[in-house]
This record gives sequence, C-alpha cells and structure tokens, in this order.
Amino acid sequence: MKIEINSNLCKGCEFCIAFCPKKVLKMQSERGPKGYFIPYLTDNDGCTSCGICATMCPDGAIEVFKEVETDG
Amino acid sequence: MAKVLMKGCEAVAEAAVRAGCRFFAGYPITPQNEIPEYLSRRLPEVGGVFIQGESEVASVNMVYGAATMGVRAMTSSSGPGISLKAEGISYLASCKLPALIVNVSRGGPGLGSIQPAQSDYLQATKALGHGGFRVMVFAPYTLQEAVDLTYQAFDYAERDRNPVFLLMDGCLGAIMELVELPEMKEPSDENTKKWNLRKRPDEKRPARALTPIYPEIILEMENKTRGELYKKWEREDVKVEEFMIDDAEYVVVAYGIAARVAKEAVITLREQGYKIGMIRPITLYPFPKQSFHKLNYDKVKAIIDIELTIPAQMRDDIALEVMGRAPIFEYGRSGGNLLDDDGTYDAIMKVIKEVG
Amino acid sequence: MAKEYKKIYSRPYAIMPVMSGYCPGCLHSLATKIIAEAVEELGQQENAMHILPVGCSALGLLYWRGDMVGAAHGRAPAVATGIKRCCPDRLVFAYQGDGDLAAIGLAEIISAANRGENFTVIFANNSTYGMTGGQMAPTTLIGQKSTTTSEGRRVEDAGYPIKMAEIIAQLEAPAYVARFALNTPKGVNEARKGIKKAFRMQLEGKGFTFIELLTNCPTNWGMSPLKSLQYMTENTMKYFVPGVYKDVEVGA
Repeated sequence: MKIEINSNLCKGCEFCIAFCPKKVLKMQSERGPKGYFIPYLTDNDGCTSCGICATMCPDGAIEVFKEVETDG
Repeated sequence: MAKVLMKGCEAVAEAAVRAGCRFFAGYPITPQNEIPEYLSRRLPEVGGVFIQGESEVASVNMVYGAATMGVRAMTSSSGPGISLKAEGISYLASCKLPALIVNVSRGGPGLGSIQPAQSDYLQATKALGHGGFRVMVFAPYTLQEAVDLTYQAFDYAERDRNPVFLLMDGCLGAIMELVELPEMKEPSDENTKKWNLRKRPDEKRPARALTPIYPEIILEMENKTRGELYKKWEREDVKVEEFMIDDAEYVVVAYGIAARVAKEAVITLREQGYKIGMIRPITLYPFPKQSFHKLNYDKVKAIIDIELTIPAQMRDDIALEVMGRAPIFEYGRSGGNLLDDDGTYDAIMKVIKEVG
Repeated sequence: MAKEYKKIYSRPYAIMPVMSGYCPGCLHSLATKIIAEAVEELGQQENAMHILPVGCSALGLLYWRGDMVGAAHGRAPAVATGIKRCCPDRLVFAYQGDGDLAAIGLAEIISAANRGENFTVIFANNSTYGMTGGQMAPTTLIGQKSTTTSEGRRVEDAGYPIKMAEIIAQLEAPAYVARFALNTPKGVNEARKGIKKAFRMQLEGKGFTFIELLTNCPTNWGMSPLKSLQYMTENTMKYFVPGVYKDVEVGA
C-alpha cells in the first residue's frame, strides 16, 4: 500500500481524508486500538503518493511509499 | 595573601568570580547595585557573561538557563526584587539547579526603605518561593565571612543541586573592610556534568531533560529526597558562632550586622562582670538548633533576640529550641534605622534588670 | 520489471514513537512535527536545545526526543538567553503559546527580541488558554467565546487581540519575523521552510528569529477538528495575516 496509517498514533481527526486530493481515504467503521476511528486507503492505484495526508497529519501517524520499478 | 580594602557588595562579587562564577543576570535595586556594576566590568575579563535583565523575574530565569548548562551562575537583589525572584528560585529548586542568590536586604515591607534592615529572615528561611522547598541561607557578619561564604556557596549548591542564598543587609553591602580574597578557581562543570545539558562538540549522549514538572509519584519521591537533604543539613552543615555561652545566664541571639553590634554590648557587659554570651547563627537555615540545647537552663535567665527588624523574625525559631526553658526577649530597630551600641547595651541591661 | 514500495516519508526521529498528549486534530502536534523535520533537515538533532513553556505547548516534554529545559510561565526567552549565552553553538529554540508569550511573558519576549538574542522563538497562537480549559487569551478574537468571555470577547473589557509578529517586527534587532497558518498543506509547508530558515539564520549567527504559527484548539473552541481549520481561514487569518514581517536577508 502507498500509505500506512499507524493505528496506535492516529487520533481520527480526519485531516488526511479532507485534504486528500484524490479522495482515496475513508474512515473505517470500527474503532482502532486507542478508541479512535482510523482512516484507510480505499484505492491504492488512485493514490499518487503525494504525501499531503502525511503533511497534514498532526500526529505523524502516516508513512508514505512510492511505487518504484526494480530490475530484479 | 595580602589583604585588600573592598566594599561589601564588590567583595562578594569578586569572591563569586574567584569561585568560578561565570554568569550573572540582575536588575538594578538599591542597596545592591555595586554587585551588578562590578560584575559588568569583571565578568567579561574572565570570559564570563553579564546581563542586565529586563526584570528580576527575567534575571533569575536567565540564571536558571545558565545553570542548566553547568555554568556557575548567580543573581543578586534586595527584598522587593527577591519577592519577584521567588518564582524563579522555586523553579531552580524544583529543577534541582545550583545557583547563588544574594539578598542585600533593606527595610520592608513593600518598597519599604533603601536603608539596611534584616527584614527578610522569614522569607529567606521559610518560603523563598511556593511549594515548600528550602535553601541554605548564609548570613555573614563581616566582609571576610561574606567572601568566604560566597566562595563556598557554589560548592554547596552543586553538591546539593539546590540554590544557595546569601543574606546580607545594606550595611554590610556598603561598608569597606580589609578582606583576604581566595584564590581564583578555574570554571569547571566537573560537579554537574552527570546531569547538565552542556555538550562538547561531537559529543554524543542520550538526550537529557531538566524540567520543573513531574508525574505525581516522582514528585513525591523528589520531595522525600528534599526532606532528607534538609535533615542532613541540620546534622552536618550548621555554621554557628557560640560566644561565651558555657556559663551564660543571659544569651543574646543575633546574626549578620545585628550580631556585630550586639557582640560589642556582650563584650562590654562581660567586662562589667555579667555572665552573658551570644549565639550567632551563620547558617540561618539550617538553624543552629543544638546551640540552644547545650545551654544550661538551670542558669539561663533570659534569651535576648536582637535583630534589625521589628517585630523580630528569628524569635519563633529560637522559641522552638528553647522550649519554654527560659524567657525570650526581643530588641531591634526597623525601617532602615540602625542599631547603635548604647541602645543595644541599654536594651540588654533592661532585660537583665527585669529578670534579675 | 518488478515493482516495490519505497518509503518516501515517515515521522521525524526527533519526536518520540508514542502518541502525543494533544487532543485529536490539535495543531500543536503538527507544529512539533514540522519543527522536528526542520531540525532533522539541518542535521541538528544532536545539537538542538528545546525550551518548553507552561501550557499545552509544554506537552512536548513527553513527545520530544532531544535535550529539553522546562521554563516557568512566560520566561522561556529569559531561560533561552541564559542557555544560548553560555553555549552559543547550540541550536536553541523556545516553543511558546499565546498566554505564555503574549500575556505573562511579554517583557521577556520583547526584551529578548530587542537584545537580538541569537535564538529562535516559535509562537503557537491558538487564541485560547488550552491547558487551563479555554479562558480568554491575549489573542482571542473579538467576539470569540471563551470560558471567561462567554458572550464573546468585547473590546470594551479586554481590548484587542495582540499582534505579536507585527510588534516584534517593529524592533530593530530581530533578523527574521514571520507568521504562518497550519490549517492547509501549503501553510504547513511554508511554515516548515520558515522554521528551517530561522534555524539556519540562528546557526549563521544572524540574531533573533521569530515564527508565529496560527494553530487551533478544537476542544476549547468547541468544534470538530475540520471545522476549526475552517474557522481559522474565516476568522483567525483575517485578523492575524500570515506573511513575512521582517527578513534581514531580503533587501539588505
């Protein structure tokens, strides 16, 4: 997946969802381990790894990955 | 070493520099201005930092900052300014930071007067700030003693990780006397390097935090440790002069400038055949309790507390140790008026006549 | 050709791998994160010295990885002065809230700025006393409700919200004074750059640098985190206008 959201750090503020330019983030219906609702990536192919979700995440809960081609 | 003639405030300032003090921040207030004035010239000569702060509040917090770096730091003021520094002194104690705070005290309360007075005994010994902490309070009565105590103060402060308080008065700050200055110590953070935040270039160590706020459990532990420290002071660090008290029927208690005047009266009365002695606390905290317990109360007819303040402030501490075994009288002047030989002699004589 | 995922962003090392003590959507967390990023980008993790004040901004004590000193309320610039004068090579910064900096600590901040002390103050302005439960701050907007202005701040009682960046910029000594808003990705990125610039200028010995960050307080403003960001755009930023107010590197 192009982003990973650490459910032990996320507090469910929804900034990532609101600022995602591709609108590929959504709240889960179940609460995470700390009692907050945690977002998830709905469409990995739709995500451009732009990192805006991580920029706006107050809690540094999001890691961003980029798909790269390898020779192997 | 040859003696030099120095003014009280300047002698204290020079002693601090010789003890390795390399940081001073303070705010002008009479009668201690000669301390910052002297250090503004002297500290740059030895690579130290002098800052005239925007207030007493800021100044004591600059000292707090310098202390976190393991630099020997001090500030000075007089009563009204010490009140403003109370916050910072409490934070120094909370954060376990060494520092020297000098009070060249004047008449109080309020703006009071700028003349000498011992009006800050209770503040110094009971509550230099909020939170129930204590500091060692040194009260010299000569400039040589002021120099020696200032020189030692930083060692005590670093040993205990606690501020030390030097309580002078406007008279000691202003007079000139011959003093023998101690040798110049090189500044060192040897005593503080285990906890200070100084970092040598390329030094790598785990991150450190110095904070005045604690979780409940830790704070209670810290306060228990503080309590034990204060008890240890009482056992090991009391400084007192006991002057002819072995056979004394009349015991004068006085510190600082008041002790200087009172001692003259005691000597005169001894010469006249009266069995009189004097207890002179040099550490006001820890208070020299034992000196009062070694008195022979079968003989002691009166304890006379002489202070340059009205009402007397040390009386409660004396009473706690005398425990009703002898009557306590008090004599003093206040408002910036000085004690004089005749008035003091007469006051003691009046007590002698009263108790017989 | 095979494909794999390469990590291009993760939280900075200088904040601890724990949940911060801040409320959901609180921009104090975001501010702490971008300060940490600026420190890291300059390779200053070992050298940074963080002065923490009193108020919510002090919650960094449990969150920041690096040397820290806790200061009394409002006194962070005085503490930073003592530290920086003793150790001029350290990257020293104080992180203060609006009550701390613009009310009880006004003398300390103005005086440190006026002396041109060579450290950085980062000022988080969220128009409220968050830690104590949402009382009126010196920066509370006219009409903005708080627990001590239940009908909204009135000029007749409480005067006007104080514009610290503008005031600091009036002084001769400061080298860089700027205000950023953390409620948009653009604002966050500009703020990170501004903080990095201020730190760089400090390391170059250019003098006092001041960054005001407009932040929020969803809890005490009584709104959702997202609504609080919108409130900032519609209200806070109209009064506290973001921008660079002084920069000695421009037009010097």
